[in-house]
Amino acid sequence: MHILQYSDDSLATALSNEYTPTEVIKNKNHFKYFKEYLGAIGLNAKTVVIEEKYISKDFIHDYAKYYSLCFVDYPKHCKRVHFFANGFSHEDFKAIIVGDTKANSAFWENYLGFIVVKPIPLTVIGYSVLKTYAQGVNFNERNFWGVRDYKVHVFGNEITYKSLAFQEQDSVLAACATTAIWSMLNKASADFHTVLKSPSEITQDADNVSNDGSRLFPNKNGLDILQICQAILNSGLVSEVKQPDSVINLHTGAKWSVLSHSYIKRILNAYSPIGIPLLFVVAVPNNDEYGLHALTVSGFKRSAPIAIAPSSEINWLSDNIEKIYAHDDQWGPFARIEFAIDHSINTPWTLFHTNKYPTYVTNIIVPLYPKIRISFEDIAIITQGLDGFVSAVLNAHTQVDLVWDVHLSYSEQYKEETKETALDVTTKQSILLESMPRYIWVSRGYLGTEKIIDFTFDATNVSHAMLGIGVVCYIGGLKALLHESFLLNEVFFKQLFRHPLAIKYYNHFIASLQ
Amino acid sequence: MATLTLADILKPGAVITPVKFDVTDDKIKRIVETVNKNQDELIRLKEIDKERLKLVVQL
Repeated sequence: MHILQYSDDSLATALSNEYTPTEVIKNKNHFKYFKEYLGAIGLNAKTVVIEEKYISKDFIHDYAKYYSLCFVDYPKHCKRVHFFANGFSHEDFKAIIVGDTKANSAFWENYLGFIVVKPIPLTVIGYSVLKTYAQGVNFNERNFWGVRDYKVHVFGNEITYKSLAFQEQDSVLAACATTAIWSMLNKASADFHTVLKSPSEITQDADNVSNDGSRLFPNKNGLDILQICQAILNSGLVSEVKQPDSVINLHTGAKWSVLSHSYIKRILNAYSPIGIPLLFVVAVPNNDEYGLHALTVSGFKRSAPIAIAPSSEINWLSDNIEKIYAHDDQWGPFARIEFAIDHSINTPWTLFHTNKYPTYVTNIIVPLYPKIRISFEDIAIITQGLDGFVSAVLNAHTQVDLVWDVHLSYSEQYKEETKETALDVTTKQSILLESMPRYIWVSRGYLGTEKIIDFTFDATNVSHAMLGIGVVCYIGGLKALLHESFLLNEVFFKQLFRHPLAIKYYNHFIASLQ
Repeated sequence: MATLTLADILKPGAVITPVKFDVTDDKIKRIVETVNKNQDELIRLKEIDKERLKLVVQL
């Protein structure tokens, strides 16, 4: 074990190995990123503890599959580099680790996480679990919905903290998409019947050969979107691939189909409550060209609902998302991504690019539990109709417009949230006692900052069925008003609901509002 | 936590009663057109472009 005072030089020393000297480390994107993330403007690390001869489960799989068969005698042991937000001596630390972990909790609160350094050339950043910046679940806080608890053992002391594992792409055994899937599975495998595999196993799951017909290892050609979905399927989840909804002009004059900011935000808002990180396929600037890259998105920051003047277009609460946090295997964990002009986003690829060329989202791959069969778009179509109807009833009499929050939820979570509302006891009891599928969609209407209505839908059904579960009104008198309005306006309703079972929806809303 | 009422969310003094909308009225027709246009766009987004699935994520 070695203890170093944290500095840029000690970070470079800690991340170096026999095949990758500190001068090379200092030129890596990861070093530039970690310098900021762990430095004074980030987690503010003060001390580095280096643990030698560490066995990393992920690397040992890859070692057995590939590196052990090389002529060069690569070691199988890694080193694990721990970071702390406090300063201490070698003797202090030795005294702490033999003490009771709970009694020393004030010391261990300074633990910031670790980076495993692999004993191979260049792609040295292995399994790493670093703490996030300060986080919370409320509006105006960084909400890392894609993280989980990690129990980390440090010299006989168990420390628990929330994070999402990160590692650099090993260009021999993995494509960048493989690494993005691996990070996603780190969360999904904790929550679902999903198998966490090593990067080489994920690459193998994607296909038998590379997409140009050549061998899979060493992997030189990346994965196409279909192969990414195949690898996700073989880990126990299914995928929804979200398509571009806008066209932009690149600086080269070429036209690209990309996802608009509004659609990106709606997808994030819709699927994040389930907690599985989303995979963003992004077009990033690479010198003068563009190439496709994959990110694992695990958090965002959004502001509170605000009053919007009535208009003819639907409003989405998701438009309040201001920033995204994503693992970028070529840079680092929880990279901050901001929305820029003309549907572009600012990733480290843009920020560190000489000409600051923008990054674009070209597809979103949503990994899902297989029982979630109804997509956001299915519910958004229904919500459009509901917005038209409810707005027609209310808008002439209100100063603000309806804003819709459409999201997936666990029914148990929805019931727990119901207990915290101002609904009367009888309404609460009827919701809590109702049999619901495990996964539900919620279309929640806000008027200004007030939550006024929920429409709930079965997320496990088939899209051509009537999906409605119930309607909850949070405003006294609204239920009766809407009930009467539905009864009077069957023709208008059917024009807004062009679903083959519009009549079933009509009867469902009337029955639910009684 | 007190339950809000309609009076709390409406314009001051506004009274709201259920109305039968005239579907031939221009204002109502515009609402239907806007909703249907947005629904068509969402239906289009559900159609997978199979060529895009072959795009290689390489960097």
